[in-house]
Amino acid sequence: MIELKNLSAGYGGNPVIRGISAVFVPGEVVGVIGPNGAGKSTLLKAIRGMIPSLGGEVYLDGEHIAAMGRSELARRAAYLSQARRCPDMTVEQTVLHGRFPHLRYPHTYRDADRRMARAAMEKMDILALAGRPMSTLSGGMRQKVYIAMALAQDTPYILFDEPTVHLDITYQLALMRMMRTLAGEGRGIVAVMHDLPMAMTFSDRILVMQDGGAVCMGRPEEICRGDVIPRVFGVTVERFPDGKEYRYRME
Amino acid sequence: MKNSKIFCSDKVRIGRLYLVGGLLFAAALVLGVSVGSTPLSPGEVMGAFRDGFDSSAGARIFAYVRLPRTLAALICGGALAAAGAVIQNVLANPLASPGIIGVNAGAGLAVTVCTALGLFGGWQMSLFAFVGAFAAVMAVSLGAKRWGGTRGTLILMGVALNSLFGAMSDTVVTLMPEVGVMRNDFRVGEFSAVTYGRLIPAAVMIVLALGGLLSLHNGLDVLTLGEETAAGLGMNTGLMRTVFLLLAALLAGCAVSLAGLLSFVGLMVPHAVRRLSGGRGLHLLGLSALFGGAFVCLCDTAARTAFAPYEIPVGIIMAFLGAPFFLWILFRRKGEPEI
Repeated sequence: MIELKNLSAGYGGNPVIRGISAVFVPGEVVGVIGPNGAGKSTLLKAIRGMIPSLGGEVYLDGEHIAAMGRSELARRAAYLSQARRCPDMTVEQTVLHGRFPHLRYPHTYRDADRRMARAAMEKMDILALAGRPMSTLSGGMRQKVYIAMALAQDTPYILFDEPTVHLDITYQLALMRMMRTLAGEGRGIVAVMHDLPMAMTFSDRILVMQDGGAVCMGRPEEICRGDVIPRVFGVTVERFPDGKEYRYRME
Repeated sequence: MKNSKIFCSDKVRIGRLYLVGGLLFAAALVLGVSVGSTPLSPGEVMGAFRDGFDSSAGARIFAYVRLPRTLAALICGGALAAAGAVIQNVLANPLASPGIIGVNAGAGLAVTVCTALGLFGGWQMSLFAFVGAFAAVMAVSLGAKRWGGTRGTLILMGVALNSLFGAMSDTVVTLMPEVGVMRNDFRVGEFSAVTYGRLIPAAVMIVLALGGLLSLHNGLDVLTLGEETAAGLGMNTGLMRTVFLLLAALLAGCAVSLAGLLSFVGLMVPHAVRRLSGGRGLHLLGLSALFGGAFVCLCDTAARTAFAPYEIPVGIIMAFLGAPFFLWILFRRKGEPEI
């Protein structure tokens, strides 16, 4: 379980997120939504200890993250950033780097690491691309490679920062289904998303952020019923009458 | 099955590149010691080892002129090419070679100051050059972080630093004319003044730095994925950037202390190797060192024989080859793999 207690964090001593308390549990997809500048990406980085905490605490499975080293944190929670380069290496080499936190200097990959990388590629259905240079892949396929890297990292939690950005709708849906599968395996998934209906359709719970604070956290249907979405985003989202899916209400 | 074929063919390709690089390196060594205004036969070279370095005129030419010069060219070429590969990867910029972003100029200034202080020892020159190179590369790295390391920004920072360090070196030489180290051939880069006293300290530091970099090759690859991704994989990116740049500065600084401001080898060789072998750090470093050493040594052999009895500094040949190459990279189409 990831537990945030009154967490504040930011850059250069200036807080971007303030006083956030939340709990993320294994086996659950939590969608983090909010307008631009709400502090969603900062929240994920703060959970992973990648930016300094300016107050409050983060506990990972009961342990304070301040007591963990960088590698230990990376072995517990994978983080997929928004900004991803197209490295000059093959798919297999890229995925193999997911094993980096599990190794000590000089970080030489073992056969067991190669097996883990290949299993991750198989799971993402990219094993056939193992020898392909990353530069020859489409954006969607590259995204799959990075997710395979996170799977090779073999962590109980995965934090996705806008994973569907720049992807066409087919890849977006495939990615969201993959998140559900990962949660079904017992992993805790926290994903920053911009598409509100998609976030509500595929998440077990939604964390709504605004101006660096958490507005509310709840099940999608509860969030949809209240006035939070119109208040924060100026739009309305409604649930299809006969299903779990959501859509924007055009008025 | 298909994947294993790809994997095997990749291994075979890399193996062939090492074979070609090794053969070129060996050929450069043999040509370097045997070709020149006084050609040396294999028998004379063997005789120098058998009967002593002072046993004949040929043995003395081999031992005190050709061998240190050839070894210096091989070592400096390898060091500058490997330094270029590291700097390009760490700064994620294909134009960021030691000569272009001012690292060599920083080392050159430090060597000038070292000489002005009356310190002429090989260890002292190498250490000063390392400090100068490290200061320059850290200035560029911090500037790139602060203002964004786009191709253009980095080149402009390099122009500024090259001009600044050049002006500072000129000031020292103007105020202290007896400091001859910043003479013209030092600015261009050449190996005619190499002695064992300067070669050995630089070579020891270069071998140690290269060994350190090779042991960290997976870390270099992870850093190439981008700062945030690398941090997500548990890397202390700030520390590792500094470590990589420090080792690259050690390579470039020691090379400058021997060869002067040799440009473009740190740009051309890593690019060619990257195209042939891919961007994986281990092979990029290993092959860059091999091909860089062979390339500079062959160019130096050409520089001292092509216009015999005149000898031109090897840096002139490097500049003739490197400048068009630089322009080609600058204006080539986008969409190629990032570093």
